[in-house]
Amino acid sequence: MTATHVSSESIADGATTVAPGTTGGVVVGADRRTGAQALVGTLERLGVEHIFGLPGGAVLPLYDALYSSDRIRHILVRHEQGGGHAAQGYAAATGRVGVCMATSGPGATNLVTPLADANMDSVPIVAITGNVASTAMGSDAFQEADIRSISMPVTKHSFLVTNPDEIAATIASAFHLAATGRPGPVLVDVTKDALTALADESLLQLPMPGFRPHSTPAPQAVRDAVELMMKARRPVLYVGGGCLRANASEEVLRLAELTGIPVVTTLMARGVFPDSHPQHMGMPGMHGSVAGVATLQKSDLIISLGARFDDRVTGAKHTFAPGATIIHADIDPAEIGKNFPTEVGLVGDARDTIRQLVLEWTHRTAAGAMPDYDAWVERCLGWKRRYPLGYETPSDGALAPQLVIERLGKISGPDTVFAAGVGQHQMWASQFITYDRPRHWLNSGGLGTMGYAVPAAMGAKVALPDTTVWAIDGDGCFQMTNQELATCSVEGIPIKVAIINNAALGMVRQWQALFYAERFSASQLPSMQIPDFATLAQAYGCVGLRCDRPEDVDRTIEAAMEVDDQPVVVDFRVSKDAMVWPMVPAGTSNDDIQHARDVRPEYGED
Amino acid sequence: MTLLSPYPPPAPEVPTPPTAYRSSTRPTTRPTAADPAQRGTTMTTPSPGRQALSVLVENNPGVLARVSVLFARRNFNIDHLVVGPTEDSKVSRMTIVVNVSAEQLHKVTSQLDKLVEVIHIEELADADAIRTRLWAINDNGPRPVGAMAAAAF
Ligand SMILES: Cc1ncc(C[n+]2csc(CCOP(=O)(O)OP(=O)(O)O)c2C)c(N)n1
Ligand SMILES: [Mg+2]
Repeated sequence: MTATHVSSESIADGATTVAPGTTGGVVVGADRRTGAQALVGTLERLGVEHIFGLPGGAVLPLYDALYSSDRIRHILVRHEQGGGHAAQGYAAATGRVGVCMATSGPGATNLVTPLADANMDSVPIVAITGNVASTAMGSDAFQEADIRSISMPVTKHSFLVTNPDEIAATIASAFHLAATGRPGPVLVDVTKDALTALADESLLQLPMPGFRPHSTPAPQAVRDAVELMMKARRPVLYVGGGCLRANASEEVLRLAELTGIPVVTTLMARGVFPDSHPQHMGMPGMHGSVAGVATLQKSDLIISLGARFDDRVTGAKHTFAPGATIIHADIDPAEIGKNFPTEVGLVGDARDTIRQLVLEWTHRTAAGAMPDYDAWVERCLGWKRRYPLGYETPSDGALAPQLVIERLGKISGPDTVFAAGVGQHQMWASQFITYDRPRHWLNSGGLGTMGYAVPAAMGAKVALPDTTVWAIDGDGCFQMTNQELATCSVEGIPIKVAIINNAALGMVRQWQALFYAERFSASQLPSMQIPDFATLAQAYGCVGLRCDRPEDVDRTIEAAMEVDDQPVVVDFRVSKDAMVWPMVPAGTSNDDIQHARDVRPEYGED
Repeated sequence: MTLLSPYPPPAPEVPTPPTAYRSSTRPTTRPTAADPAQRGTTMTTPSPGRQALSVLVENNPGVLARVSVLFARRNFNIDHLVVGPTEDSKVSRMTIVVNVSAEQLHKVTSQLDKLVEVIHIEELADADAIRTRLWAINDNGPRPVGAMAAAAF
């Protein structure tokens, strides 16, 4: 072979030419397997069915072993970041651990963004990377990167395996870590020589003496919490993504209906408690509903269930909910008291915790306790009635982005899974679609990663092939990861993509319009000309549609809904001046929420 | 300025350190066993409190990096850090002195406790005494005199 036929990476570690099927040149005995085979065997044993990945020199042995697996489908992505987000979408839509795979060096570093994203949003994924041979480590070998260290601050844990006998146990432990306690991303980096050597697979789990997740809150804390709930006059259930990860939606509904306490659900938790439930006051936060923000802000008791008092929710910290005492339930003890002093901390799984609260509440009310929240509930409902979400239709006849999203939600129905990018379209997708069930709304909340939507939708569609999956993406975001449409076309993953094309990095443009005197520095995109999204979609083997008139919206969505054997991309050309309202400008108080531009709601007397 | 030469202009001369740094004798403020109240330059600024932690960790490669990355990530500055073996070869002990209030300390220990390789954490009483002894151990080698002033240019 000459260098023109084989890339230098395949010979980087000096490995000799490998005969097909022999996994790294080692002749395999009947009962001993190589590290790579042990790895694949372990994945099979753990029930893994799908991997999103892209090979390279350091993982060739692994890909050779995967080649003989008929239980695992490997989906070849076009960029490792897409593979990582696909694993996230897969996990977020199902609750199962998503798996992505990459080679050493650049392959591994391309995974950093999805790892950080999954870390922020507590998504259980396992990333498997190959590294150069342990003998070459530290020598700046070709495609060497210390991904174990690089990923330290953005993962739940990261392993480096150089001993073939530890591969099976490490992979199993990684899955356990990713899914247990507060879920999160775990990286396993395996050196090439460990993959090619013979492995002893008798060790099934690493000891991990330091990993002791909590699951049930202390009984006294539960009693204290319910005591506070009994005494409160203005309580609110602040429901976060933890309830989603813990599959606690039934329990949340039970607690809410039993107590009559108003509910707000965060961006991460949408669908955990039905949007259309009368007790739902909406979403709190920077672009939440007036009722959602006011209910938190004016409460005297916040019962936080798997939420984390993010700055996008609280606004200026020192002004947040000044009259409120806090009960904080979280599986992660480090969350309790992290941002605000907490009266009662309930450390445990959300589902378990809520069941305990329900039980204690039932005991107390059976014994005659009867808190009275009527005046408060009336007040919350008043905000909800007076300040519904809405939008203005552009006067120049341009298409309103909110209309497109609203119609998408209505026409595609409640079974549809929506994955959003990051920006204005994301906020509109959270505002103008009704989410009544968990795991139907996927988005990048904590990290705010542009480019999440298309690959996450792809991952969700792989997990749920019979479900309609729409990516609602921005023209900016779409261009970060749209290459995964090729993956979707080739692998038969018919997702649908609605590009909310406002020819702008719209959210940036909105802030510039509001806070930088309309100096639109680097926020305009020529997306009505370049690229032509419909043609681009066709080039990727997808159906490409375009819509720029309000009267065509329904017809276009229906046409897209009819395609089920191919991915579809719709270029919705919308007004570039539309803004997301309500808004609590960054760094200001929730009290200063604007319902529409320069319109401040009346909260009424406390 | 137009650069005619493709090469960058010569580096400016290293300035003479300001007089305060120029003393060739050791700073008089460094702590001595007899005078623990006077403990180096950082001790003269009012501090929210000195805390010491003893942390048992798995003796794995990279565990020191993981612990220090956590402190950096959570915006805590480490005053002193000592790592050594224990009776059990699989376990190492870290002694960490940080300059934070008790409330902040709780935040950092609860983050630290989440690290998979951290087995046990104990807050040590009398952090000041520990710090004095660590200072004595660590107070060897070249003096930082002038180094900061030179590095600033
Ligand atoms: C990777 C990344 N880079 C930059 C940003 C900052 N950012 C947030 S929203 C946004 C604009 C997104 O534009 P687009 O996808 O067109 O969405 P729109 O706001 O127009 O709906 C930008 C640049 C980000 N969130 N992520
Ligand atoms: Mg845009």
